[in-house]
Amino acid sequence: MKFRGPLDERPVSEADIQAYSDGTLAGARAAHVRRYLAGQPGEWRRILFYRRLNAQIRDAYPEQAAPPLNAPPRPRRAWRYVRAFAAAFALACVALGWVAVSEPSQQVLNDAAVMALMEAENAKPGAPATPEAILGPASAPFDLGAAGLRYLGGSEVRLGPFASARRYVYENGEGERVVLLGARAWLASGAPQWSAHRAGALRLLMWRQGGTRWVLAGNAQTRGLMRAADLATMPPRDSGAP
Amino acid sequence: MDIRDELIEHVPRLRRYARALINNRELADDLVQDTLERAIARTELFRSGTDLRAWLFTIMHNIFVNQVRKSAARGTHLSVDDENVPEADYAVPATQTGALEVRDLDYALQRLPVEQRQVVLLVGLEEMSYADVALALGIPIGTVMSRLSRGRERLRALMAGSVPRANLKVVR
Repeated sequence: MKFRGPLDERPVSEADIQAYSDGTLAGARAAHVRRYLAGQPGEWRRILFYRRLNAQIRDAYPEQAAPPLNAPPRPRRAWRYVRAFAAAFALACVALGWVAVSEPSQQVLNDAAVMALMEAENAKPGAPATPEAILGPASAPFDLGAAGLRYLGGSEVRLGPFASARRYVYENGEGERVVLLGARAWLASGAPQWSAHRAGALRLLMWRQGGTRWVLAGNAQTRGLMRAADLATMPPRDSGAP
Repeated sequence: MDIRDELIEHVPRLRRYARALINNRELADDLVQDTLERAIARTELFRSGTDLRAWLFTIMHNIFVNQVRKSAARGTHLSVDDENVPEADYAVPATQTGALEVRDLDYALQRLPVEQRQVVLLVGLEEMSYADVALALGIPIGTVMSRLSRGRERLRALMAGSVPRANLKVVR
């Protein structure tokens, strides 16, 4: 039931409660509200909360001093966005630059393949292809068994301060070795069909697939060399086909 | 005194209010800067003898409302008239002592609908009269009172320490 007090007085409204909480209610009206509150402990608690809330808000947010007149003006929001965009762009350029310098070119990879082949051929028969191969990855990227090539081992090879490649060594039944080099090539377009390059007695077979640049190097007369390139670049067949 | 000098006197209060309103120092200072720039550009519209503070808060309110409208177009905005959302959904856990910690206060304030937050802050923080608040926000005084009442009651519920429900709501 609303508190009415004397008949000529307006009942206490919610606006009165708010104004009383803020201390803005005029004297007679404030006294009327006080009489009403005397019998309403719940309302008193509400008012006390509002008053405490006002004090808490003022304590929590003190006045913020104005910047001195000779202080440099704040950069505009648009300018801050431009700067953030420029920073992001610069970061992207650095990342792109790092990717570019850490990807060996075709020529570098070809040279490395020739060197790796010479190292593999100079190794003793029956021993692992190279000393590093012992530490190399366990599995070959391609199964070239159908070309008569057995996987011997692989390792990482450095091609400069930033670039590197993975080296895999295979051997055929006659003890002839071929070397497969793979390096990251995110920036190069795909070339899933191999192309051949002859360098003296050596043959290099090159292709790019799935962000990787591949070079298969061996003696031009090595049995199974070109068949191996076919196998590596052949699209996977449906295993359910008859 | 030149009106620009008078403007500078109000900067601390504008910054305080903006930071309580937005809870993002960068955006709050942007709002103050926008307000001052607009005020300086339109000093001829200010009638001398009237309340400069109320005029500045009116400008700030108009800029802020435009920003809220733009951001509302990108996300969900709770209107003051949205009474379907239960208070418990906004409740923050009570502190162990039950005191109104600044962090909890700030957290609860940011969960008020913007319209209610403005009124609660202009009255509670800036100690503006209801009439000045109505003038600054461009709304009837009755609306000021209802927003003030709803805002304070919502804050009371938020600070009462109801545990938020652990349900997931699908939002737009």
